[in-house]
Amino acid sequence: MRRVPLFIAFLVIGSLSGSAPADEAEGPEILDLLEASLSAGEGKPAQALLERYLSNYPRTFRVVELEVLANFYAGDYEAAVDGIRELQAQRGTTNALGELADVILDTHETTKSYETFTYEGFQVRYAPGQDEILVPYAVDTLKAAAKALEEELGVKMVSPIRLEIYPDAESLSRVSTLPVEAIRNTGTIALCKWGRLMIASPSALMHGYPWLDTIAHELVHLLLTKASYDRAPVWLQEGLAKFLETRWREPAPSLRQDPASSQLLHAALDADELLSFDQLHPSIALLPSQKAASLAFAQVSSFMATYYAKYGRDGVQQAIYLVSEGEDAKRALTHVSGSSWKALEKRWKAALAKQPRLPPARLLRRHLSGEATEQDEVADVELDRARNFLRLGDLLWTRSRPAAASVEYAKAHAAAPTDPIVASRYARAAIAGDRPKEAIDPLMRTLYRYPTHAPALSTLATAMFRTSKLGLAEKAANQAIAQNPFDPQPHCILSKLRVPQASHEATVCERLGGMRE
Amino acid sequence: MSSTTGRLGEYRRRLRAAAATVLAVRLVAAAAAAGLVSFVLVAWVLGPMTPVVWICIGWAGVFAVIAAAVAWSIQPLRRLRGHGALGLVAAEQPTLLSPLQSAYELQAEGAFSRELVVAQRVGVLRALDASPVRKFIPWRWLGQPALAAAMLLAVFAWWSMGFDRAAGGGYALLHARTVAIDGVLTSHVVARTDAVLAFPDYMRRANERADDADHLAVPRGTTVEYTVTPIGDAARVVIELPGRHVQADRVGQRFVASFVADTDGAIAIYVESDRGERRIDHRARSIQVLIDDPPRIELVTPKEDLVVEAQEPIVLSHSARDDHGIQELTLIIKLPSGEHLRRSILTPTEDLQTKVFGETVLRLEEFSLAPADAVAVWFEAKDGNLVDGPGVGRSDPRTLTLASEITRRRDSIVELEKLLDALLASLAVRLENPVPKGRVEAERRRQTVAVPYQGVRALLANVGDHRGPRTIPLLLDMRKRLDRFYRREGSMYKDAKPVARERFDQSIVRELEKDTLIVADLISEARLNDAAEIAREMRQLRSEIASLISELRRGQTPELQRALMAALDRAERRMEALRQQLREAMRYVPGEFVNRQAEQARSSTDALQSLREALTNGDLDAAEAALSRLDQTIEAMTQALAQSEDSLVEARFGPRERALMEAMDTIRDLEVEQRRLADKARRVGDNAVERAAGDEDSIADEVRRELENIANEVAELLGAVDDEALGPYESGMKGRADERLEDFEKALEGGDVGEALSMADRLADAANALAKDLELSAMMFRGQRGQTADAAAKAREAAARAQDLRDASKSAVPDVSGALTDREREQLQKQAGRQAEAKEAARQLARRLREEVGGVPVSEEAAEQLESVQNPMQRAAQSLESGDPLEAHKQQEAAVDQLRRLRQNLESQRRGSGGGEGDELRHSARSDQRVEIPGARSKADELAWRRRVLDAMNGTPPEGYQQAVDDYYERLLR
Repeated sequence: MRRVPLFIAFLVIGSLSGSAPADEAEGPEILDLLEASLSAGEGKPAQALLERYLSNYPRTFRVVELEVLANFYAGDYEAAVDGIRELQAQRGTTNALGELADVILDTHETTKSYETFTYEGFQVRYAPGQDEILVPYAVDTLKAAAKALEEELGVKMVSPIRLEIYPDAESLSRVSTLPVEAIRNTGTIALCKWGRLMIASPSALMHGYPWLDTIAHELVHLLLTKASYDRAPVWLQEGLAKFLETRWREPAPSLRQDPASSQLLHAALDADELLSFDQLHPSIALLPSQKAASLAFAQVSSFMATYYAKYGRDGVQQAIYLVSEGEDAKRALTHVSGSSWKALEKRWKAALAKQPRLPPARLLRRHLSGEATEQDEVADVELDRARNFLRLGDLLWTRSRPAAASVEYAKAHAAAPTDPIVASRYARAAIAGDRPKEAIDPLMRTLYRYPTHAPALSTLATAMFRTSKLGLAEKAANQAIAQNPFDPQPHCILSKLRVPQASHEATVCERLGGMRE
Repeated sequence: MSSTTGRLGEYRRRLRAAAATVLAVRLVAAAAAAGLVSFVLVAWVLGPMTPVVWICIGWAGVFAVIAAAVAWSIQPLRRLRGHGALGLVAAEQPTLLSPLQSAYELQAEGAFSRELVVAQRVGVLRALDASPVRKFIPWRWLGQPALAAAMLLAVFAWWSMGFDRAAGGGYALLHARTVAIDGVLTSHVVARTDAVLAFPDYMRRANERADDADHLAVPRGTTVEYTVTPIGDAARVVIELPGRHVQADRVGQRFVASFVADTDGAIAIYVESDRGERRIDHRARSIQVLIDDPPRIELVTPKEDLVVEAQEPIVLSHSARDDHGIQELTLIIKLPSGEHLRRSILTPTEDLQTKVFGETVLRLEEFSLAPADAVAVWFEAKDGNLVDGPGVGRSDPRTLTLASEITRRRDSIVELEKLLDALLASLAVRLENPVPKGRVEAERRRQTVAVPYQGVRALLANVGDHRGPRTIPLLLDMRKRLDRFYRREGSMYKDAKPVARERFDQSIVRELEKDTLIVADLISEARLNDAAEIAREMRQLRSEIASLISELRRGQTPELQRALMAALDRAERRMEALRQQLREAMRYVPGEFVNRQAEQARSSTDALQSLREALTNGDLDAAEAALSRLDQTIEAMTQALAQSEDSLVEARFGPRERALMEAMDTIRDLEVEQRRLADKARRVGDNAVERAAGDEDSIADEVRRELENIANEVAELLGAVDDEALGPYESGMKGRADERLEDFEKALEGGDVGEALSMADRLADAANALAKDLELSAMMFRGQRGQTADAAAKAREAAARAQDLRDASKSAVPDVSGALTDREREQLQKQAGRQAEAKEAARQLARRLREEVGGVPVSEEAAEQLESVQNPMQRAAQSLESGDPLEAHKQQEAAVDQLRRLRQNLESQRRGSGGGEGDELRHSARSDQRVEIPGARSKADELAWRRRVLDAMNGTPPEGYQQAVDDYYERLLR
C-alpha cells in the first residue's frame, strides 16, 4: 500500500521537473515534493505524500500547515478547517497561512452544503437547487476538454479535476478573494486557483455567459499551472487559455470570432493603444473595466494564435517547458521561435493588420442577476429613438399586448437594425405573433455581430423550430444552452427533436418552467 | 310421400309441445305456491332466532311440500300413457284416434302398398284440417281446484310475509350463517325503530319525534331516546353507536335507549333472546350529526379598504344572522402594533336575535396612529352554542389607513399608474388596428379606438394633486395636446382622404407614445421621490428611537418599552415600504438608480433587526451601537436616493428643464424690454398730455361739473355695495376702487387732467373687477337672502358708471396725438418697431416651447400664455404706429403684467423642481415652510366663501337636483 502514494508522487514530480522518484525521498525531501505537488495544483498526490511522511516523521507545526494546504487543494475543506483550528489551538494564530486561512474557512462555510457529482476523474460541486441542471453539460465539457487539452499541452492531471459552481458573484468573491466590484467591472465570472476550477453559475448573470467555454478556459489554466510549475505569467496563461478554450468542441484550436473584441483590438492597434503584456499582471480580473479586460484577452489570445499558427503545438509545449524550467516567458517564446521578441510582436501586429475586419459591434455590458432588470438592458441600447420604442414595446408586452408591442419593436429595429437587444425583442414578438419567418433574418444578422448573445440564440432556436428547420434549431438550441442553460426554451426545443438527450432535455424544460412560445 | 309424412309428423310435434307447455306451467305454479306457503308457514313457526338445526328441518319440510306439489303436477302424464300425445286427440275427438294411429303405424310398417298408405294418410290429413292442434291443448290440467287453492294460499302467505315474525323467520331461513359481525349472526330481529329528539337548550326548539329512526340527522348535542321494537321475545337490546354501546331498557315489548348525538356513524342493534342467542339486526342504520353553523356576519359598509382622515367618521355597518340567535357581537380593531381592541356591539342576553343589523362609527384619531398607519377592522359574532362552545363568525376585514402625505404620495403614484395603463391601452388598440382605407370601416375603427382614448382624457380631466414639480404641468400640457388631437381627428373622418387619415393617426400614435414615456418617467420619479421621503422619515424615526433609548437608560417603564417597540414596528414597516418602492421602481428604471439603495435598505433592515434583538435582550449599549449603524445606513441611503432622483430627473427631464430655464431667461428679458418700452411710451404720453393740457389752460367748468357728478354717482353706488356681503378679498378691491375715486377727485381738483384720466381708468378697472368677482360668487351662491347677488348688482352699476367716468374723462382730455412733437412721433415710430420685435421674440419663444426637447415637450401652457401676450403687444405696436402713446402704454403694461405672471409661474415650478442644488435645503423647505400661493385667497376669504356655500345650501335647489346639489356642496366644503 505504501507504494501507491509514492507512485502518484512520482508521476507528479516526473511530469514537472524530472526529480528523483518519491519512494527514494526522505523526510524533508518528501515535504519539498509535497510543496511542488501543491504548486502544480495537485492535491491528491500531496495528501499521499503527507500520509507517507507522517508514517515516519512527527506532526510538526509546519506539517500541519502543509496538511491544511493538501486537504484544501484536494477539496477536503472540512479536514482543512480542522487543521486551521488545530493551528489556532496550538499557537493561537495561523499567520503562516496568512489570508488563505480565512479563504479556507470561507470556502468551507460556503460549500459545506454543496452537492458533489463524481464521474471518472471529474468532480462537480454545486449548490443544491437549480444549478443541478448544469452538471451533465459540465461533465461532458470537462471530459472533452481534458482529452483535447492533453493533446495540445501534453499534460494531464493526476488528481480528479474539480469544478465548483457558485450560485452568485458574492459566493465566488468569498471563496476567491476577488472583490465583487472587480467581478462587476471586468465581467470575470470564473477562475482557477488552488487546484480547482471555480465558476459562477450562469444564473449569476442576467443572460448567462459562455460558461462551457469558460470551464474549458479554466481547465487550460489548471493544466498550464501544472505544466509550467505555476511559472507562466498572466498574459501567457490568458493568451493560451483564451485561444484553446474552444478546442474541446473543435477539431483544432481556433480563435473565437468575436466582432466586439476584434473591433476593440483593431481600434487599439490603429490608435497605438495596445496594452503592454506586463500591464496584465497580476490578473485580468483586476483591470479597471470590462472593456480593458476584453482588449487584454483579445490581445494575448490573438498573439498566441499567431504564434501557434507558426510554431504549432510543439512550439507551445516547448515554450511552456522552458518556462517551467524558470525561463522568462518572452525569452522562452523567442528561444523556441529563434526570433527576437520585437520580431514576434511585429509579426503578430502585421498578421492583425491583415485580418479581415469583422462587422462593427460594441461590447455588451454584463449584468449581474438581481442587480439588473430588463430596464438595464434597455438602457444599453445606444440610440435614444430605438430605446424609447423598446421601452414602449416592453410596456405593451408586459400588459399582454404582443401585437402592439411587435409594432413598437419593429420601429425600434428599424431605428437600430444592428442592436442585438432590439433584434431579440423584435424577433420574440414576431414569433409570438406567429410570424417566425420574420424573426430569422434579424437574428442571423445580430448573431453575426454578437455570436454569444443568449436571448438571440434562444429566439433563433425557437424560430428555426417553428419553421421546421430542425437541424438549425438543434444547433442554435445547443449554442443557447452553452450561454444560458437556465432559459427553458432551448431545452424544450431539444426535447422535441430527435436527439439522444431528448428525454433529459424534456425533464430540464419542465423543471425550468416549460416552453414559452 | 314425404310431404304427407312431414305434415303428419309436424302435427304430432306441435301436439306434444302444447301439452308440455301446459304441464310445465302447472308444475311451476303448483311447486311455487306450495313452496311459498310452506316457507311462510315454517318461517312463522321458527321465528327470527332459530338454531340452525331447526332451519334445516324447516327447509326439509319446505322441499318435501314442493316435491309433493311436483308429483301432483305431473299426474296427467299418466293419462296419456300408450297413445302419447294422440291421447289428447282421443280425449277430445275419439273418432280421430284410430285413423291417426293407423297412419302412424302404416308409416312405420313397410309391408303395405305405398299407394294404400298414402291414401290413408291423405284421408287423415283431410280430417285433421278441421281439427287444428289448439283444439286439443289440455287447459283442464290447469283448471284444477287444488291448484287454485294452492295459489290462493300462496297469495295469503306472501301477504303474511309482512308480519315481523314471518319476515324474521324468512330472513333466518334465507340467511342462515351467511353474515356474521364479530361472531354475532345478523338476523332480521328488529321490527321497527323510532326516536324522540330533545334538542340542545340553546336552540330553543321543541322536542320532535322520528317515527322511523333508521337514519337520523340531528344537531350535535341532541338527546335521542331511541326505541327499538324487536321481533319475538328479546331479553336484551344493545345499541351500538360510533365509539360506544348503549343498553336499552325494556318498556313493555319495546326497548328504549337514551344517548346524546355527538358523532356521525352507523347504528347497529344487538338483540339477545331469552335463550341467550345474540343477533345483530340486518338493517343498515346511521346517525348524522349536524354541526351548528356559526353566525354569518358581513361588514356591509365600507365595501372596500379606505384611506381616511383622522377626524373623519367612518360608518361601519354590519349584518349578522344565525339560525338560533346571536348572543354576542364585537367589533375588533387590530392596531399597527398587533394589539387587538374589542368593542362590544351586542352583549350576551337571554333574548337572542337571529338577525342583527346596525352601524358603528369610528374615527382613526382615537388610536394615536402615525402617518400611513393602518388599522384592520372586522366584526365577530358568537352564537349561544353550549355544546361545542360558541360558534364564531367573522366578517371580512377592512383596512383603514390614516390619510397622510404618505398615502397621498401613494395615491398619486396609483393615479399615474392608471394613466399609464390607459395610455398604453389606447396606444395598443391603434397599433393593433391599422386605419382601413374605406371610410365606413375607418369610422368603425375610430369608434373602437375612441373608447380607450376617452379613457385617457377622462383620467386627465382631473389631474389631481401630484407632488412632483413637473408632473402637473406636463399632465396639463398632455391634456391640451390630446384634446386638440381629438377635436381634429373628428374632422379627419368627414372629408379627409385615406392617406391623410392614416397620417393623422400616426401623429396621434406618436403623441400617445410620447405621453406614455413621459408618464412612465413621472412614475419612476414619483417612486424614487417616495422612497427618498421614506428615508427622510426614517431619520425622524431614528431620532425618536434614540430619545426613547435615552429615556430607557434613566428608567425602564412598560410604557416606554411599548413606545419603543411601536416605534421599531413603524420603522420596520416603513423600511419594508421603502424596499417595496425600490422593487417597483425597478420595473421602470435601470438598476443603477436603485441597486445601491436596495442594498442600503437591506443593511438598514438588518440594523433594525439587531436593534430589536438588543432591546429584547435589554442590552442598551448594543442597541445604541445598532442605532448608530442604522443612522449611517439611513444617511447613506437618503443621500443615494436623492442622488438617484436627481440623476433620473436629469436623464429623463434634464433637457426639458434646461430648455425651460432658457425660456425663463428669455421671458425675463422680454419683460424688462417690455417695461422699458412702456416707460418710454408713458413718458412721451405724459409730456404730450401736459402740453395739451397747458394749451387748453384747464378743463371747462361744465365738463368738470359733469365729471364731478359722475364721480359722485360712482361713490354713491360703491357705497351702496353691502360690506357684509363682501369677503376680505372683495373688500380690498372695493377699498382700492374707493381710493382711485378719491385720487381722481383730487387730480380733477388740482387740474391734472392726465392724472385724472389715469385714475378714472384705474377706477373703472377696479370697479369692474369687483363687479366680476361678486357676480361670479353670486352665480354660485346668492348669499343669505340674496345679499351677494344684490351687492353684485350694485357693483355692476358702479362699474358701468365708472366706465362712463373714464369715457367722459377721455373726452375731456385734449388731443394727445395732436400735441406730439415730430421728434416724439419719430420716437414712437421707433418704439413701434421695437415693440414688433418684442412680439416676434415672444412668438418665436412660444414656438420653441411647443417643441420637444429630449423627447418631452417643454410647456404647452407657457406657449399658450406667450401667445396671449402677443395680443397686447400687437395692439401696443399699432397704437405706437398711430401716435397714441397713452393706449400704447396701457397695452404695454398689460403685456408686462402677463409676462410677469408667466415668469412667476415658471419660477415657482422651477423652485419646486429644485434644480439639483441644495437638495437638503430644498426638501426641508418643502416639508417645513408654509407655502404661499400667489393670488390665492386668504383664510378669511376662505371662511367667507364657506359661509356663502353654507348659505347657499339653505336655499332650495331645483326639483330632482337635491341630492346632486348636496353632494356638490359637500365636496366644495371638503
